[in-house]
Amino acid sequence: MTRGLAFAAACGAVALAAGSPAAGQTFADDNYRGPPRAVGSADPFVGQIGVGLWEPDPGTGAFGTLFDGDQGPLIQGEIDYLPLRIPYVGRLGVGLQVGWARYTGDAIVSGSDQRSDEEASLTLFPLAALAVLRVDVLPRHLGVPLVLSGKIGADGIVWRSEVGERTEARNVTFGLRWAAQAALELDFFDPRAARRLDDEWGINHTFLFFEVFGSTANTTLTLTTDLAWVAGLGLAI
Amino acid sequence: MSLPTAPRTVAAPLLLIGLLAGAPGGAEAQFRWNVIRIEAPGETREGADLRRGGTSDNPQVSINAEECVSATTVVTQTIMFPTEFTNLDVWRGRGLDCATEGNRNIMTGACEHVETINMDAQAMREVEFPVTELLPCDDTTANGVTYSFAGLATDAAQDRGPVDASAAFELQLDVVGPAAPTGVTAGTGNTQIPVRWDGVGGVQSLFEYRVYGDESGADCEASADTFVPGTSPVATTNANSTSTNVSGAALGLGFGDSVRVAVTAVDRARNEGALSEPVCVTRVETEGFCATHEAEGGECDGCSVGGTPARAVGLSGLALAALAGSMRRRRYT
Repeated sequence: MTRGLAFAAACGAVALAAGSPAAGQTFADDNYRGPPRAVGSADPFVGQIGVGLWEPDPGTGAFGTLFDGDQGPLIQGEIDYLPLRIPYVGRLGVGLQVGWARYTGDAIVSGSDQRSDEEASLTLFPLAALAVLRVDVLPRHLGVPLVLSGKIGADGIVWRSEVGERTEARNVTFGLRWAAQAALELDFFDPRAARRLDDEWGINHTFLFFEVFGSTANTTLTLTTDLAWVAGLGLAI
Repeated sequence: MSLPTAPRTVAAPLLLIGLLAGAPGGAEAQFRWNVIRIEAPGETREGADLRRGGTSDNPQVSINAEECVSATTVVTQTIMFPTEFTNLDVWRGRGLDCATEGNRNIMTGACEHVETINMDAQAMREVEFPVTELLPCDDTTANGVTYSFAGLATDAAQDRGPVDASAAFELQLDVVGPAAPTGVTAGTGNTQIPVRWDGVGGVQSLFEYRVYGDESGADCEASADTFVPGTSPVATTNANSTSTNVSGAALGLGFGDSVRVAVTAVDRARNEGALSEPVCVTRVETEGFCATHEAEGGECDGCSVGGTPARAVGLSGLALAALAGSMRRRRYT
């Protein structure tokens, strides 16, 4: 009996000393990276870059007349700072979006409806300052790698209209921007690679995202958008 | 074609007395002989600019039509000569090694004697040759031919025997310009009127395309032979491009006016080819988005605020990189 108790105690001591390695790994495993990361670890910075389609509505038929269905594309980047942690919901903070889109078509001959061979263009440079709520309860608590985000804030679109080498007009128009995003975290594809990325670069998560947005910008030029989209890649630090 | 053969001493101002070549006497003495400068009225070519003939894959030192025509165009070389010999005996062949005795055989050899130069016991010097002495500039059938020039170190003149030391360089005769571009079309516009054409074959041997406006005052229906190109092109493009834009104002046009334009191709040796068939460009007043929008009742209130697309993505990228760098090797918690 004493011998059995001693043996059991020894086994227990060994088990305790071994800690709790990740599933499938042992203490002696060269790839062992320590215990799993604690839920709710800090990742207050999020950055993303993407490409999408965007056709603003100026309120007249001019966009369709001149650019004939051209939808950009829109290239857009964003940096978010999310310092506030809402337990069991996600993170709250602010974000800055910058983008670029250009639309081209054949300029119209003045006084007629004929097209010339000269290029007319409209270049848009949207800047948005947003309040961002990033709901990450699904991956952190339920193991579902899906993060949902809601954004709303001020939208300023710098625009420039050109014909050939001549600038017709340029200004900035203001309004309200909203956006909703679904992001697929890529950690679950290769947790070891994700852990190495975190250890070496401090990148907690990488994700693919799809975002829809709208805008009411119309102070100098109406460039309202009911629904447009952008998709791309992001990372949380 | 036979060329002068009398020994020649180069004028003193052109001499460079430099280091001895260090070539010992006897067999296999070596010296170097290179083209270092081509001088023509209005232009002197040196260094990398020498090899602008041939193709982009195989650049060569070439002489173009303008340089061939000019009587003052010369080719200048630096010579490192074995001073135990008296003369530099210059021979020319079409792609032949004229240092080989057989190529200089008076009966069967294909090399031609150019001239013999007394070296005055100098190992390093510049020698000038009028280009017409080196190349058959009048022979257009020789266009594109690369000539090899062998300099033999010898005590004789027009030496057809074996030699102990020799050096060589090559020159390409390129006196014919490229073909005229075809398929030229032009359109209407104001500040950017497009002109397009089909590329001339052999883009690797081309340098650029030039677009000229007609200064004859003839209308668009006039025959092509009435076209008078301006002294300067109104637009140029690189050899890989087959379109460009011309400005109506640069062509001297008012709104509603038309003028003919024509296109030429220029090869790497800077020979300009013939003019294309002229085509008509018309300057018209054009409207863009704002004018169209306002015509339909919209508002387009413009002032002077703008930005560049590069900054938009660049800002995000830089910020991302800075944040990632600051978090590198964050301690695991």
